[in-house]
Amino acid sequence: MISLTEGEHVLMTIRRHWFALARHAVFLVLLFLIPLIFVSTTNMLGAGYVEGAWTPLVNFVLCLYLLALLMYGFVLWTDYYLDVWIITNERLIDIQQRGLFDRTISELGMNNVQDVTIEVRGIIATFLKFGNLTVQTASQSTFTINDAPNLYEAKELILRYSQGLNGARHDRAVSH
Amino acid sequence: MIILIAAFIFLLFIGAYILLTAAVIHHLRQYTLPGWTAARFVVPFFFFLSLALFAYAVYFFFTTPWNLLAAPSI
Repeated sequence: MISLTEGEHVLMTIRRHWFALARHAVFLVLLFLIPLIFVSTTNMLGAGYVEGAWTPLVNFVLCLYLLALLMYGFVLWTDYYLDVWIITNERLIDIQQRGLFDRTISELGMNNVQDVTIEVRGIIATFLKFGNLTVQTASQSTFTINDAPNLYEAKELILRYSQGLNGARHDRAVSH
Repeated sequence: MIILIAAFIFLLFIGAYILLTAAVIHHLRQYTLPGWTAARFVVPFFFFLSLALFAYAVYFFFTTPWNLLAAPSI
């Protein structure tokens, strides 16, 4: 659980663009279509699974298959939902959720931000306005969020607050 | 005999499903920040669909003539 310090507030929460989730959803839909194709094909070939003793068994297996797909979809959505970038007025928090049991939380103080880069690649990304946002730190390490929407807004926000903090620190140093 | 094997596999499936569901719900409860509301709608929808499919699965399990299927065809 992320806890904010006193005076800290969330400015923006960024999740991956819905298109990133849609790419996985297409695969899910294809898996969903397999039993439909199976049923229609066996009916066409005259195998007639819908008749006789096999019917309840096939329906039973079909139910288990759909349950497995439902669980896969739920895990996929949870992965998407919990994988976020939180921009506060003091820091960037990068929460990476990979599957269910792999979670990484990284933090970067706004005063350590050196550079923010936006990368929009391809026709779909250009039309749907999403891309990669990379923040370079003073220690030359990078923070990247892939397939992020609202790129320009996020960049402006990070730069404004990082420059504000760096400016205030510089002013304090000069006044001493 | 075949019904026992089928029941064992079915119970194993249910157990794994419940464990995974519990893990996902735990993650959602643990790591959701205040103001994130989507889970309130998605989780009940998931539960409803799961229960419906489980009910169907149980129904079809008990209507399957396991002994007839196990018998060698003439």
